[in-house]
Amino acid sequence: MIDLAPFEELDRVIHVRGRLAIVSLLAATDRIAFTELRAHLGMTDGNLSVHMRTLEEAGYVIVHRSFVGRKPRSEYALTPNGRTVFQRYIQALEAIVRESHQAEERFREDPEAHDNLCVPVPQVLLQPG
Amino acid sequence: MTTREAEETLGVIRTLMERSTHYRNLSGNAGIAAGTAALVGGALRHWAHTPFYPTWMAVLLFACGASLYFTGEMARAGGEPVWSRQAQTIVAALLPAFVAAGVLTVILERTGLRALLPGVWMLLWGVAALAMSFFTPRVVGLLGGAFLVAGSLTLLAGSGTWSDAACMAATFGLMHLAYGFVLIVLRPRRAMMDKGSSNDRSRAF
Repeated sequence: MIDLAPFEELDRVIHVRGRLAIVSLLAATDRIAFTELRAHLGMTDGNLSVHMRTLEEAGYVIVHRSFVGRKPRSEYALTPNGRTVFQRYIQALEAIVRESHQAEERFREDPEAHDNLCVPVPQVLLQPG
Repeated sequence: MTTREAEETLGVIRTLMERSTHYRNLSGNAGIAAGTAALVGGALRHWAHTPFYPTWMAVLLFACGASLYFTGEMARAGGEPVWSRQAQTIVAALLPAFVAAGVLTVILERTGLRALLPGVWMLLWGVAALAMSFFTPRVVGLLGGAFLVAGSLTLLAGSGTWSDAACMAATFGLMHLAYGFVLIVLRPRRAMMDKGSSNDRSRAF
């Protein structure tokens, strides 16, 4: 049997593709400005704002507001909790890949013992991005 | 989520993490200003016989000043601080080669080997550009490689083979002009590609 535990580890908040991209960018740095995130991801201001608010409310992201001259500037950073959740997400993806490769390996060695490689997809993976 | 999707997602995450450390405010105008300054310096050294150090120090100061001005202008236009996280990374990458160049300049001058300086400066600017290239567009790595080759050839040819005016104008002058033009041509394309690849990445999730 394929171990389904890694699927359950996929966090619902960052599994959405836009938010996963944001968290990936934030994970490599201390903090990133809103304008820089927008440039990297090609999102509209509104779309990015909604994602940032969701991540803030989940406690994964913290915002630092300041002024550059007269222009307001918002910089975002991952919280320790957000970083942990992202690391777990990566580990879950790696586990899925590993599990799948191991299942394929077992199937090749003994096809009759594993007649069905299909697994039920957890609800978290079926939610729209 | 299939295995392939999980693998693709991991690849996209890796790419995004790498891209977020890249510096986006390199200015083609700064390259053109630095190249022009080196050409003027070479011309002054060749025809007006201006003194060695004041000429090249003036070129260096002008090039640094122009880089700061144009880079700052780009950062401000994008609503970013001039002394950003990425800018600090770039300076940290440049600094060791600049310190080495300063120390070697003093030592070679003291030992009467001033003729080697243009080759040493090329070599170390090549090292600096290559260090910077980990956080910048690919053209910076090409510039670094070109300087590394030019510096090596100049030093291997031996002191006095070419005048400092010719060496500096041909490398710091023409190569920076080419670099500046490439950056100016690439910027609009790069902005479009950034937007396109962002959409590709979103689809990949």
